[in-house]
Amino acid sequence: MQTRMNVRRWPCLAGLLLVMLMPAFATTSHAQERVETDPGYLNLHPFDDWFEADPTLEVNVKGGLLRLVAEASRFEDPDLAELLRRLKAVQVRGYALSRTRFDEVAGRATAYGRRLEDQGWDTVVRTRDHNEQVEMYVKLDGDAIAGMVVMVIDPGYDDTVFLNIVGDIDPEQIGRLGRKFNIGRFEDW
Amino acid sequence: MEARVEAYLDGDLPTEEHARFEHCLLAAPAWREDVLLAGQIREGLRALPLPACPPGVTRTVLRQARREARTDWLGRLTARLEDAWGRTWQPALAMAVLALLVVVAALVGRLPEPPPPGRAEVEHALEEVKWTLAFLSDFGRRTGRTVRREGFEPGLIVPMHQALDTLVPRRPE
Repeated sequence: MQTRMNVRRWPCLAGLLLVMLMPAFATTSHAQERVETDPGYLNLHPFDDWFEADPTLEVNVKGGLLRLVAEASRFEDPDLAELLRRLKAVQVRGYALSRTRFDEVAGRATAYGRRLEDQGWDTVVRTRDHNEQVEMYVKLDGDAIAGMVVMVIDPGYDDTVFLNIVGDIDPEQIGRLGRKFNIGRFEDW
Repeated sequence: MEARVEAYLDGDLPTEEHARFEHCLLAAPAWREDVLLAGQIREGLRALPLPACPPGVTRTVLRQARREARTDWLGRLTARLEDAWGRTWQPALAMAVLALLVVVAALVGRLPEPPPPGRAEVEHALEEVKWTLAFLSDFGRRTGRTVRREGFEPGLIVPMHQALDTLVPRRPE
């Protein structure tokens, strides 16, 4: 009789075990939530294929490192820390581009921009003259900006730049804070 | 009647019945002859020599009997084990496998986190972020100038200026 009761109980026990372990699964999957799945994220690595050499400039700050950076700037620059706390990733890739390949790469960037538009990105700026092409796109999440992509095609050592910022973006705040910092060759930093 | 004859010859009839049977035999000569014949047949069979058991028969019979007894014992044991396995160990094993799967899934899900970045790495990342913000700010200013120079001025401001000049001629100095 006792054994028969055990037979009846074991599926219930298995179910109970699963229910008890559900929070562990939930925690695990939450921890695995990655910025790569964010709607404002763009993988910049495929741009490597457009160029003959490796990137001359690379910034890849996201996740825990970005939170530490925000924390590190808390006392020195609270405004910057507040901005960084709302971001999820900052990534830049710069490439050397010869003048002879400008038209080709600029054309590819234009086509890529069309694909971004198809994926729900909005074009903010698109300018082109004889030696520079600039395109800027934003991904909206409701009224907020969830991601920003900038493509600058400019012949030079590291003047062709692809940039993606993910998170709750305030362009005005970025412009205001960015004015405080000097821009020069990246190696100068 | 035949059964009673056999019982009579074997001496199995109770005393009263034995006497009654002998009384009947006295009254029925045909029966008496049958009983006599049956007694002679019995005596004749008993007088026959006993045939010897062929060699190996006893051994074979005993082996078969032991085998059947063992098969029966194994069968009972197997049936008992199967019963116990089905009722107790099978659910226990299923639970153990389930728990193992859950633990493995949890362990695989929790890949070891990379070591926290050092101070130098954080400071370098901070400089990279500042550079990126400065780049974006500069990009915004340059783009704004370009749009103003190549969009607003030739397309809007200059035509408006010309239109105003036409409509409201400037007064000579």
